[in-house]
Amino acid sequence: MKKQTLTAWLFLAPSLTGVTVFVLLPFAETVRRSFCDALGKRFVGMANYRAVLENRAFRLAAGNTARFIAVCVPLLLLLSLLLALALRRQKIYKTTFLLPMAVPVASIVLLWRVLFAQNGLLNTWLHTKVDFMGSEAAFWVLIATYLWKNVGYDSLLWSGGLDAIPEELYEAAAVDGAGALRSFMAITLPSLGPTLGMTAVLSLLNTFKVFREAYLVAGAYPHDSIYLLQHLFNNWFLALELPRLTAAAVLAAAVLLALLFPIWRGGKP
Amino acid sequence: MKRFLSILLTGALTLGLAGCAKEKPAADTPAIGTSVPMGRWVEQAVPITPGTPFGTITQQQDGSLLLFSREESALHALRSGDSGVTWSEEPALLAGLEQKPYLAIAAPDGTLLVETAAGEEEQDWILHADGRAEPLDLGGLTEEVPTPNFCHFLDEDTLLIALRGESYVYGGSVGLLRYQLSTGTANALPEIGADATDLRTGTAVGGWLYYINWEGGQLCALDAEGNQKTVLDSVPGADSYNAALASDTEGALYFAVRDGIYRLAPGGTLPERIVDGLGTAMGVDSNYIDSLCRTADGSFLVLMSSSSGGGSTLYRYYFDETLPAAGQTTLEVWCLTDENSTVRAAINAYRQACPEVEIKLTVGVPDPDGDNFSAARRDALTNLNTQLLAGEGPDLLILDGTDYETYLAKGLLADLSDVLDTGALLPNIAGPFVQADGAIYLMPARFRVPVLYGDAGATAGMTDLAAMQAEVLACAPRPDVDCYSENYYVPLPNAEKYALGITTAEDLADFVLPTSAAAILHDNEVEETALREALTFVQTVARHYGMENYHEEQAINGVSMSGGDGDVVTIMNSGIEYSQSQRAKYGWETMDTPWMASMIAQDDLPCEIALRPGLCEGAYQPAVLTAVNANTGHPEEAKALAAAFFDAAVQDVYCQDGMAVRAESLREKKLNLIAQEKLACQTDLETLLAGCKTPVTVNRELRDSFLAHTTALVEGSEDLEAAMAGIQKDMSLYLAERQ
Repeated sequence: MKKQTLTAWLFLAPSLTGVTVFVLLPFAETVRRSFCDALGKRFVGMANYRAVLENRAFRLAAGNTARFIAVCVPLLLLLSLLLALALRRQKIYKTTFLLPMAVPVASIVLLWRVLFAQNGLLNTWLHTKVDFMGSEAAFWVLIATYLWKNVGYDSLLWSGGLDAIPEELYEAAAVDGAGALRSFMAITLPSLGPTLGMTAVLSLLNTFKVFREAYLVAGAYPHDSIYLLQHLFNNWFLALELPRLTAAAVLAAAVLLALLFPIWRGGKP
Repeated sequence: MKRFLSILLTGALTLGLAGCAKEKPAADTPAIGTSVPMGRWVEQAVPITPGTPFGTITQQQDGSLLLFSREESALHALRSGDSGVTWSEEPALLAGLEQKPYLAIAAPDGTLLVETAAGEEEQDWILHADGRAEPLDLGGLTEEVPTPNFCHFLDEDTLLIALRGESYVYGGSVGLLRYQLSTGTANALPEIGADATDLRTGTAVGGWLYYINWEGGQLCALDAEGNQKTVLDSVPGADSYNAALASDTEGALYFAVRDGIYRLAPGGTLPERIVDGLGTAMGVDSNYIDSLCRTADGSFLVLMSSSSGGGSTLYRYYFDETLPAAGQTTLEVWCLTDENSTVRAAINAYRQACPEVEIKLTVGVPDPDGDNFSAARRDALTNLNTQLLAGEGPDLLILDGTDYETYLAKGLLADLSDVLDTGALLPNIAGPFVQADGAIYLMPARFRVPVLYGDAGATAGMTDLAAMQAEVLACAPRPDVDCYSENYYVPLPNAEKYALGITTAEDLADFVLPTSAAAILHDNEVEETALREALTFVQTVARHYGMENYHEEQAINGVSMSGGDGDVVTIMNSGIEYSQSQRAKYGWETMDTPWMASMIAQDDLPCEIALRPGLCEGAYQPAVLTAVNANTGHPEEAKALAAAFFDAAVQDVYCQDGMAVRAESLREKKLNLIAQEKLACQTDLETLLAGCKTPVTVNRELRDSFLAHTTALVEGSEDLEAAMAGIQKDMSLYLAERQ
């Protein structure tokens, strides 16, 4: 037993070292600096946290980010599951699902500009004059981009989960007279628990990547509705607001952990 | 076996990760001095007497060098027998001429082409090595007397002559002639796609004249038959329009540009840099490279003239094998863009004093005219901030184009009060940068002043934006005239003159913000009253002029002028419409040299300059904001380099990036000289500049938003209230972040 434990630790050592050096230690330093002044030399207690929580820009960015996650993640999970179920037998489509992820950000940004500019294609087709990027519509444009980019990938994850469910369970249910809906509710959904956990976590983390598109299209100060935490972090870094930046980062990490913990717990068999 | 392999794999991966860590020098690393590569290029100014050197340095067949200098109107021939270290006059060379020589070039065998001047009469002579002089007879091919500076001896018998004037008989503005010295005959060559000035910097080798075609940035060659070839498609540094060529006996080409001296091997296509221009006179923007010579001992001679007056200087670059290849200390200088020539001038001055210190210049955005300057700027600042917050980063910072107050407020800048003598600086310019406790965290080495000018007495009442606005309304509206048409240069009668030459929304922003930005964005708030006043001015001008209906071409880039020993002055559209086309009642500019006063008068009529009206009192723009990183590893050297920015040697030189903050440099070298010129401008410039009180830097976010809404106001798509609300909304997030 002892030898097995030692071997396990030896195998884990490289990745643990990497995670410690590149993630845990920097995060510990971030936590330390969130209690210090700009140069990280003087302890200032909770002042930075107070400043962050009182800051209107932080509240707006945090609110927008939360709203974005709250809308995006459930929508994505649902749409991708439906897609996975609908195209379960159509293996040929599976590779095409990943294409949106392979499209370079620069191309997406170019597409955005062509599509959503006030004189863009969408307004021309619809005979409208909507300022997509300068109004509340920007939020839904961002949502659409996120869904388009991630729905294929998530559906692949769901497909993996669906494939892992033994066929015998469905056959037994059919013998017992269960219909398709009953089978789905009683067999498919409960069996997808672990997949749901992993897909939800990855979807949540991917929400933070949509910032690249938002920044490249609308700049450092976009419309209020798509002003996300990453905009604020970037701008604070440029303004050398490291104390507030680190405090905000710690708060964001804490909220993320609070969100992820139940998912991890719930995903366990 | 499996266990052994797994342990081996684990160990390898762990070691691989450990390898990512910063490498520490081994304890047994040899000390400096035992394995340090030796030898580096050294710059040395060569004293020349009598007179000031000019023209071309020629390597003679006997190994000596020939150079000409001029003292008042007298031409002197100078020879050096020690590769340019010392020079002595050789009067006998020009003794064969009866008339007074004015300009000359030499062939390797000692034959000279000399231009003489007798009153208005000019004449070119071939002066043979034996002292025999014969007039240059071009057989009636041109009436122009060729300037020797634009001629080249291709070999001992062939003189290539580039004509500059329109008198060339074949009708082209630029033509080429070939003159055979042995027969005394001239032939016309086909015209080439280059300017005569291109050929001026050329060098002859192997029967070809090599020159840089500035327009295409190419290295080209031309032979005695007029055949041409392109040797190099892109010459490094050719975009500076400042270079000279030379060759050696093996046929290798050398060219001196701002970046340094490059060598192109015979038949090669890849130039290699031999001498780094940074920290040398070549790297200083205000120096123009007139001539380059590769000497027999492998050193270089570069003749440079300065746009700041003072004539030309001959520099020698030689390889000193006794010096270590690199200095023991390297200072890094950071600036956002490479637009401040003072930086290079200061580096040059510092390196002259401390040659053992290496300087590395890092430019955050090397191409500010690129596609996305905003993103490139953010990337550059992110990189800088990352380093500074980690306690590392450049030693010296030039904070132009950054939010410099942030760096100061965060304690990232070192106190310079122990090296800066503020007593020598203009108190009204330096004062706002001295803290209450006497500390100095950054100091502008230059400053610019937004000004308004007009006929004598005209600017008296223009004290604020409201008065300016009333004056705009009192004058005629500006008509829509194509700036490239003849009408643009037809002066208007006084009664029909409009007040200001403003043609675009950008002009409006440029007029208002440099004198008002600090009042609009104040204490982390947008001051509503100030913003309303600024936008009211914008709207009033736009509507009065009918700018929404402007269709004609409105903007030319500006005109650069220089008179005598004065600085180069660039007058933009806003000034041209007053001083040259004489259609506006006032001109407005950003004054970066007092010599501007010599260029603004309309036909030498009395005029005056005033501080441009705005919402800030006595607004000026600080430039070349010099600071030292508080965490630099070389505080003494970095501070000494910062101090070099304020030395007389740097401040006396005009670098086209603003006026000197050193009082003596401005008064003695500029204001007093201008006063002696008896200009039409009647303003006492010292009093004018003493009125500068408020440093104003225009916040980038404010300018972007102000310009966007000014454009909307001009186009009529927004009214005043909408523009105000728009700017306040645009700025709200920016300001909220800084709460």
